[in-house]
Amino acid sequence: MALEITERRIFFDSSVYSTEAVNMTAFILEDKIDFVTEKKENGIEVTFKHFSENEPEIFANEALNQQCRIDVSKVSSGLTKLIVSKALVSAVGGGKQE
Amino acid sequence: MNKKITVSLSENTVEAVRYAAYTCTDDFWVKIQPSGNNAVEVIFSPRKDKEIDQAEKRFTEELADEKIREKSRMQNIATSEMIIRNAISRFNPSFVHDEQPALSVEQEQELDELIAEVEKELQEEMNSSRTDDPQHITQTWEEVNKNGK
Amino acid sequence: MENKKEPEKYTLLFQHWKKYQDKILLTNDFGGKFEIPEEEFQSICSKNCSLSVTDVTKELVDKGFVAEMIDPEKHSLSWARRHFSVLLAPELHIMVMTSRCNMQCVYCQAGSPGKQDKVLDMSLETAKKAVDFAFNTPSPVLNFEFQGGEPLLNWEVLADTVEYIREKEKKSARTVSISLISNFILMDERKADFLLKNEIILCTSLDGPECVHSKNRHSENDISYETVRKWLKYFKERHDNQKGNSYRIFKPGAIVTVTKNSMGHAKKIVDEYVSAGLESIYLRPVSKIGYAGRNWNAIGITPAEYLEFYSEALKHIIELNKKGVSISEQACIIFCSKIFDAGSGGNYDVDSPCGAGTGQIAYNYDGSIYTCDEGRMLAMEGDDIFRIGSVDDPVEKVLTADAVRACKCASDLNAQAMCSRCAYMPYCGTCPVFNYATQGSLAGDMPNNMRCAVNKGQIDFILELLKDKENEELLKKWL
Repeated sequence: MALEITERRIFFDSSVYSTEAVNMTAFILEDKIDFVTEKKENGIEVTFKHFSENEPEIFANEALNQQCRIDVSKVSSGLTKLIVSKALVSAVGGGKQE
Repeated sequence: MNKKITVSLSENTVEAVRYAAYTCTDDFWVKIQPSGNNAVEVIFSPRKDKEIDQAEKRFTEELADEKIREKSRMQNIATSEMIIRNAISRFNPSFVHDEQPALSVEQEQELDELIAEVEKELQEEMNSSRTDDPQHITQTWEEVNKNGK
Repeated sequence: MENKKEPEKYTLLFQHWKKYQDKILLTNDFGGKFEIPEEEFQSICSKNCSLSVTDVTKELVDKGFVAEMIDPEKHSLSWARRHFSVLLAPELHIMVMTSRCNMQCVYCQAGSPGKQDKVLDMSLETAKKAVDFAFNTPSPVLNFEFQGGEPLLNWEVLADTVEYIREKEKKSARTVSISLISNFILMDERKADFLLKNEIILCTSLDGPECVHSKNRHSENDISYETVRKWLKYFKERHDNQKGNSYRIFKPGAIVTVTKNSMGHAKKIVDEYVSAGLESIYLRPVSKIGYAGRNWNAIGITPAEYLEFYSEALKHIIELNKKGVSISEQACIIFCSKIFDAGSGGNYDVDSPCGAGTGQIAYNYDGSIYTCDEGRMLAMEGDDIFRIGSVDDPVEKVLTADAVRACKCASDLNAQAMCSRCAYMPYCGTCPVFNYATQGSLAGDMPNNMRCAVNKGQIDFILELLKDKENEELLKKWL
């Protein structure tokens, strides 16, 4: 079976996937896939109700996407804050030359 | 059909492993799990009829690239921050719009007339200077010989 | 005179790089681009990126690749030029005069419901409020863009709004331009005269020769193609013969939406633009948003298909240029502006962060305000996540709405895992609306993102073209 998923569930170990990443994934996919998440000691278990059309695999890839975003934000959040703050201030007329 | 690759976390950061795996998600389903002994297992399954052997090659190459990036990342971020801070504090909207103001219709017409006038004067000057040119300095060899001079 | 101390060591500073044939392409966000043999790159990296004195060339220093010799003034100017929208208030104000349309285009994202329902028209009161709102934003430059549906279906309000804008313009110190995007089916001499006298810039859709255009853009009695050609000719002639006018007439423009119907016709589409007297073409692939998404099986194309089309079209355009035909391609101009460090290219989609809510805003016919036109189109499909307020709200509240902030954060490429590492990051941008509509999140999933694949492919192709000096000179002239 793909990704060695033999049951309708997949476990995301917290040493690899943060709770935030899995929760974001759940939020993004909740309208498209039927699943239930359960917090376990070392991570989060996701049980899929229909086990069809690669649903666990889709969830796994998206969780990795979200985790990588979290990883990059730890390094670049300072830059993003600078830029976004400036953009918003400029939009309302802050920083105008007198 | 799956491909499992074990990666040591004493030689690679987990962030690097995650990113290298992530770049393969266009062609593969990917999951990462701990594998004891300070290592993780990266499991690939093909999507879209891709060859599973490509997964290892792509992942390994990206992991090597990510190691290079990690060495220079902090310096890059610090330099970028310095430059961006300078940019956003130094420049403001007037810098963007600091260009020639658009001409009005009248000004454009005036400019067109002025250009036409100057062109006419230049042409007249060229013609009259030809008349005052007994040595035919301003005429080409062909022109001189064509006129039989 | 200050004695500058030579640095004790030199470090190669590279933010983004990629293997490019047998070389490594280095880029940075200060306008720098540099190619280095792969062996040399690996050697420098193995020494913690340290450079010997002889490695430190003027080119490397000028382009910002030597950490100890960064010129903050010069490089921050370059950054500001390519990200200028961060410094500006909204300039582009899109006014959707009606959601009605008299055509049924195969990709119409507006989801136009037909000619009848006048409740879908913008009232004059709402239009004036939208104009007032725009004039209350701080930008010294205001570009109003009338569109729809088909804006000419709401002609009386459109004309009154134009006059209102011009009145306000006279009393303000703003530079105002107005453009109209129309299918021209309802155009007549009276309207044309009014629009031209008010210096409206006219734009339409021309998807190619009749066999392509009519397949994409269905109209009653199939008159769209001949109508577009007729009025493009008319407006071009009015432009060419405008001497003595007290008002300026701008050249008309057109845009192409490339669908499955366009495949195999790249050269013919370019030739159509040349024969219509147009000097610029903007090639864009159909977006899987809204109605186009529902019709995707019939009209959708893959990134690979689009890139094949695009490369054929661009090659043909360059050949035409070499023969003295004046025609440029807009997407190429946008990317080349950034590659040649000549600015941002002026397109809010291909910017980091994107212009949603801060570079452009869209006023729907009912007075709702959206981050951008794409966000508004999504609302027409029932999802108003990108709604940021209404014409009755204070400017500051609208422009700092949650959706604006979210779009800014999601479209800053420094915050994207792949983009922040990509060699093409300095030339690229992402659209949170597209990402949300096609992939479920504002930030999207770049390994599987159609726009990412298309942008990368276009930049690959353009960089390849630029290896030829003649092409480089030609493309620079387009900027």
